[in-house]
Amino acid sequence: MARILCVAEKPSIAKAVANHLGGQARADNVRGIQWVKNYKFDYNFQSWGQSSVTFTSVAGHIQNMEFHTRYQKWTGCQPSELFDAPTEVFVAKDKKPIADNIASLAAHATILFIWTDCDREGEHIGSQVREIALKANPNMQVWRARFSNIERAHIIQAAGNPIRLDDAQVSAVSARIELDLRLGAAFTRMQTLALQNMMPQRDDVKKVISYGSCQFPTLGFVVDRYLRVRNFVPEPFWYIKVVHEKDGINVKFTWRRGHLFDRMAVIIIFERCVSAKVAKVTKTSKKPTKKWKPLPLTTVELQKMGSKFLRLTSQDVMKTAEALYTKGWISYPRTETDQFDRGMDLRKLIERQQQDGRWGPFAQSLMNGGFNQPRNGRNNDKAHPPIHPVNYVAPTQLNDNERRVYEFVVRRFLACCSEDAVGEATDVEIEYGGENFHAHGLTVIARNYLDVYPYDKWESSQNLPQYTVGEQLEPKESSMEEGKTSAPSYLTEPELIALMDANGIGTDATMADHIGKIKDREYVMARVKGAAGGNGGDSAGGNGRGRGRGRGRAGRGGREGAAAGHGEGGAGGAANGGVQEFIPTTLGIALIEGYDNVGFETSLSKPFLRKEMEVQMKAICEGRSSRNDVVQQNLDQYRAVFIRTTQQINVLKAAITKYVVQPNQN
Amino acid sequence: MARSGSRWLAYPCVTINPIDERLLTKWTCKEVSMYRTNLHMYIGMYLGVCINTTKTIAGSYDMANTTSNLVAELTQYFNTRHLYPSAAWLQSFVSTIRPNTPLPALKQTALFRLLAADITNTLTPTTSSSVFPRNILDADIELRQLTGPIVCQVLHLEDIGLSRWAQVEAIEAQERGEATRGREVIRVIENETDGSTITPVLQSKGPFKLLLQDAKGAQVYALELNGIHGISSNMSMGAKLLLRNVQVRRAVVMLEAPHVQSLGGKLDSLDNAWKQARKNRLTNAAKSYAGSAS
Repeated sequence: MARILCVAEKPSIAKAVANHLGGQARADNVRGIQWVKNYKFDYNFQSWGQSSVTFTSVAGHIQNMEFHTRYQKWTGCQPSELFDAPTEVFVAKDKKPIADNIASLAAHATILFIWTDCDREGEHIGSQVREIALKANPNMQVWRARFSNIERAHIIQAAGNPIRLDDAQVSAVSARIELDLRLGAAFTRMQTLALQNMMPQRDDVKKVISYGSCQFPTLGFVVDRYLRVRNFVPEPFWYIKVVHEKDGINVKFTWRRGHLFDRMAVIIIFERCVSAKVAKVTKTSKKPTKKWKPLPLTTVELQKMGSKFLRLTSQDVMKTAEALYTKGWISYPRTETDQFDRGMDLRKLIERQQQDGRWGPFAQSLMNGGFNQPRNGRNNDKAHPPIHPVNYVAPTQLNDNERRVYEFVVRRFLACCSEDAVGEATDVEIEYGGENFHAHGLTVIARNYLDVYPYDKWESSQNLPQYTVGEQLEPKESSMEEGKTSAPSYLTEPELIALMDANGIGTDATMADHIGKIKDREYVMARVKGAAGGNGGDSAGGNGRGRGRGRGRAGRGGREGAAAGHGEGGAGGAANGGVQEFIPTTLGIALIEGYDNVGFETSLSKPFLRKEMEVQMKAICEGRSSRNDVVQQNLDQYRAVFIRTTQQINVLKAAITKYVVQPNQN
Repeated sequence: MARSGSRWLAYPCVTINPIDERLLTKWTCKEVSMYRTNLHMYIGMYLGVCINTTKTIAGSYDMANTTSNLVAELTQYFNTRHLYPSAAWLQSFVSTIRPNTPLPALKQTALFRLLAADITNTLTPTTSSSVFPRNILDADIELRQLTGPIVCQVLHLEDIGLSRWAQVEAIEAQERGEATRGREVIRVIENETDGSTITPVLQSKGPFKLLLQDAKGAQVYALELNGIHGISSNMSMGAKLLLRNVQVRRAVVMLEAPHVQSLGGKLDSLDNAWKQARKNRLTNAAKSYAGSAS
């Protein structure tokens, strides 16, 4: 009988999968680490026959990459040496019992079957498991399970169709880890050593001014917007409004030009309209229109919608989705795919939602012939389907956040399987004194998906009377109005995620973490939008709000998830008010302005360097580039920036003085 | 457009742009004698005119006679284009040209120079209809029509479809070498031009408010509402427009498509100064509006 060692990425997955395969599997304790269990059972694998199985797990990454000891001390070397200082990979101290457990289990097993999550990081964690296991037992066969949710049938299917680890993905992650380590350490030490003594100290704690190649562009977006808001200059504009009464309806026509910024010009145009007296209908149209149902749900979309409609930070949304996935209610929540595979049985998933009191009837109507294949988006990561509900769970079994996220995922899924909303749009265009004005009316005929998806709004507007082309009309009222431009608002979380996504900063899986980091580092503070009016005042900083340092690197997979919670709303904002908006602290602004002023072609505050890196990661995955080339090329690029910065460190210092030191002295 | 003489020498076969005055003015005698034959041939081919090179050599002709003939030729050439350069300007132009330059090329050069000059110095309007009426600034007149044709030059242009601040932000983004494509920030890599030109600020559809000046120096505002070829936020200051049958409303000239012809040209010093000062001007204007608006 084959002896099979299965290893999942986290204990909850091990438990769930073991229970699917082995019924009520026996759980043995693991020495030195209580939350990891070894589940033992027998199972008949398609490939290996009846086998004795041990199912255990790791807790995220087991290994760390670090510099050799000599380089670990800040005073031990120049920060610039870190670009090529020797590194080593070793089992993290706190993960020692986990590694030992795998090694001892591997010694008695013939096959290693890896069940880490199916994404790049999971692939890399799998490779760490493989390394440890093969060291203990070099003769093992190594396989990997491909799965994207932990619904029973899906798991059994995955167990029967093992695949190989993808070493290209492993290489990409390993390149990323090395670059993050070297660049993070070199820049963090350099800027901390240079700037630390300038910073106002509190509690005698010397603050580390950390750098991360994703953090900085993320911060850059926040600062950019902040400066736009602060620098904004409101200006008056003028426009023309025309009202015509027909069939007892006051029809408001809006100016095709919108508005203009010159009063004299608008007066002249307005006079020309008025002296024309009569307007003529130039175009009418009445045509069916649709509001498209949403695309299948991706991680980025979930995060954006979560912070927009569910009032959760992106980190909380991901943490919650992760929990729902672990419990088997939804599919894997880290995916770029926005198209459902044609072969997937979506009806079966809809069927399970019929019992719900809120959307059950809608699900039933889909089952009774209302079903439509979801739209296909443009992305397919070939690893995971779009996020969808796997099983039904009653609201009483979920906590508050879980309930909201689950509801959103279900409603989104049902909306995808429904029909576009249908309406009729009426457009009337008139020419009046050489100017064009138009009126638009909408009648919603069938709400369709909107019935289950309250997050989209599409309402009927006032009905328009019948007009015919060529018809002459005399406006009841025409007037010249004045308005004023208003400043953009501070960057909100959904906007920031969208910016990061469009500019290739982080992956869908890590964006929320980067946002969390710049909050933890006190580079930005978050507050509920509209909580504090005005322009944020002069002391834009969150000085004096001492928050912990949050978790360290690689905050993945472990039990803690995101330690940095929501609700560090400044300015008295409550955690649950609404969309969060970000305001940089004085330190945050100083860093970005400082680096911008150093003036390399591509400032660290801009997304370009990091985007390039992300593109190269993909290239490694697709076999178009090698790990070594990518690492060297990136190190060279960043080294140039590093040298320039150290040469012009006074520029950076000047920015700190301007924003942090001087305001504190006053 | 600005091709250097040496490049010309290296590529004598390159197509000749008839409007390029350097063609005829920047050549040294030696170069001319070396390439005269070629040049004539190419100009001839370009213009579709057969030029007999031996006849254009001026030596045997009576210089005085040639000059007055030339002035007459040029005058007629300009007049058909509604341009009436002063006798002094024509004289001085003729005195700067080299003998035995073929006539079609001369005309092009003359036109190029005239459009690059300040019309208040160069044009002598022959009739009152070829300049703005004296009371052009009388805003009590709601509407009148100017038959023209009037030649005027553009002294100033404002994009009134965008707030001044939005224009400042666009200029700043461009200074940083960035542009946005939707939400994506993209880097604009400057192409290797001679570097002297200031690249377009942004493509805007306007509408535009312009300040026009006629040959007598009268200045009047104009509105361009529906798009006219040659009028844009990137146009050169000092560019010349030809107006016919335009409407004037409350002392503002309405520039509308069939009635306006862009003649091109520019005033270098004005154009440079205007573009240099653009960002400051817009910033100050925005701020002064903000002050008065709030």
